[in-house]
Amino acid sequence: MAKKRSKNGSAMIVAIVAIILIIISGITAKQRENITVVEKWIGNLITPVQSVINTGVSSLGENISSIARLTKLKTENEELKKEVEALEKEVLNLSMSKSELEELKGLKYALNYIEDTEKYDTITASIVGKSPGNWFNIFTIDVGENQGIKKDSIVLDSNGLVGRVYEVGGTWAKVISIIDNNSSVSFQIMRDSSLQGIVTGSITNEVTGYLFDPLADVIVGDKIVTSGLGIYPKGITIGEIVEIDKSGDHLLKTIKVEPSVNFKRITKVLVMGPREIDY
Amino acid sequence: MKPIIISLIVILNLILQSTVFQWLKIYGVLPNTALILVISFAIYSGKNKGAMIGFFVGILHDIVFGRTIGLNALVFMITGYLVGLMDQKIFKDNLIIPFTLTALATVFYETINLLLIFLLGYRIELFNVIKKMLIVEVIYNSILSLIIYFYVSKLFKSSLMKKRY
Repeated sequence: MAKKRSKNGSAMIVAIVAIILIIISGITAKQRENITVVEKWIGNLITPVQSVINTGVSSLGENISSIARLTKLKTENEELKKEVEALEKEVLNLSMSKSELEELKGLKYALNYIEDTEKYDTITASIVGKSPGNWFNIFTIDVGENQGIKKDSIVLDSNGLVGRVYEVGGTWAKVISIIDNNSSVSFQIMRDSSLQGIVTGSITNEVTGYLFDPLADVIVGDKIVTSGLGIYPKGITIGEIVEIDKSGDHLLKTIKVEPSVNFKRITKVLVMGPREIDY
Repeated sequence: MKPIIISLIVILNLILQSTVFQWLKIYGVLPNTALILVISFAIYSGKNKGAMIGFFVGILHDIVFGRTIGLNALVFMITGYLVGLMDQKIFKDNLIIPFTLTALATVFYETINLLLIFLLGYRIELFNVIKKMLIVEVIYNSILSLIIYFYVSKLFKSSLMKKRY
């Protein structure tokens, strides 16, 4: 009899804790302003260890994979040379349009046009750990509140947009990448800034999105950049369109995007302060 | 000695999972060594301790990497408890036990995760999840569990675990 009661007792405790946990996860599911002290301390303790291990392992891994890639280098070199030629031509074109742009800017100033006054101080950070689950695409970086990182700071790397800061601890911060399930970014086509839309990540780490205008003329290979709506400032590279699909109801034009950042190999990122617009 | 060793292993695993194991991804899927550890420990320590170990592994997970506090803790705790229920009923030296249990637990873990994530309002493509994640993860976890279980059972049989401080 006593044994039976104790058996039920432990089941009760598990059930009660389970209910409490469900409530807690319901509360914490939304974005919070600040994280609790306990979370901060645990993060502060674990991040340095991760940092040490990760730098060691990733440098080792990089070396091994670079040896493995030696054979590909030659073809890659030729491709790059061709690309340089094409780019040089483009530079010529661009320098011409640049002078035009400067003229227009002067005009804009004369007309007293309101502009985002965005000042960005960037901080370099290295990634110390990536989320162990397969559901979310979150990683921790080794800078935090003490270095002046705030929530919703924007994270970049040299190729383009990586994501945004989600939670900040003392010396660490969690970053949500744009390939995460719950991240969405508004974009515009680089070629024509009037073509805008929204891209979101997914569980399978594919970035898909749609254009506001179903008749917009986009082609595979179009580069997309952030449009400046929402928390991301304008003009950061997101990636390239690799697939265009018209959904069944013909109301939306959906696209699949290849991010310009290689999320598998990313080790260093740049963090900019959150976007503040003065009026 | 026992709680100290277990918590050390758990913390070490958490750190390794976020750093070294990122290089062990197969088709973009990470093995869930934390889950395997919880199962292995629960088989040897019964339902109460199994649930407790699961809870602590999960809550650590949530704090260091999670989006929402409580989600992993819940899943790991229930897994630990359910596996612990079988404590007395199974033959522990048989390697089929961890293999099947891990496969089942992985499906269970991901189903609850899916459900909770769905309830929390995230976007889910069920077909893609099964095709690109679940199948690979079940196989990967089950095979890894053989190795981890072997060492955990060795640990539990050694004199180190029986010593009291």
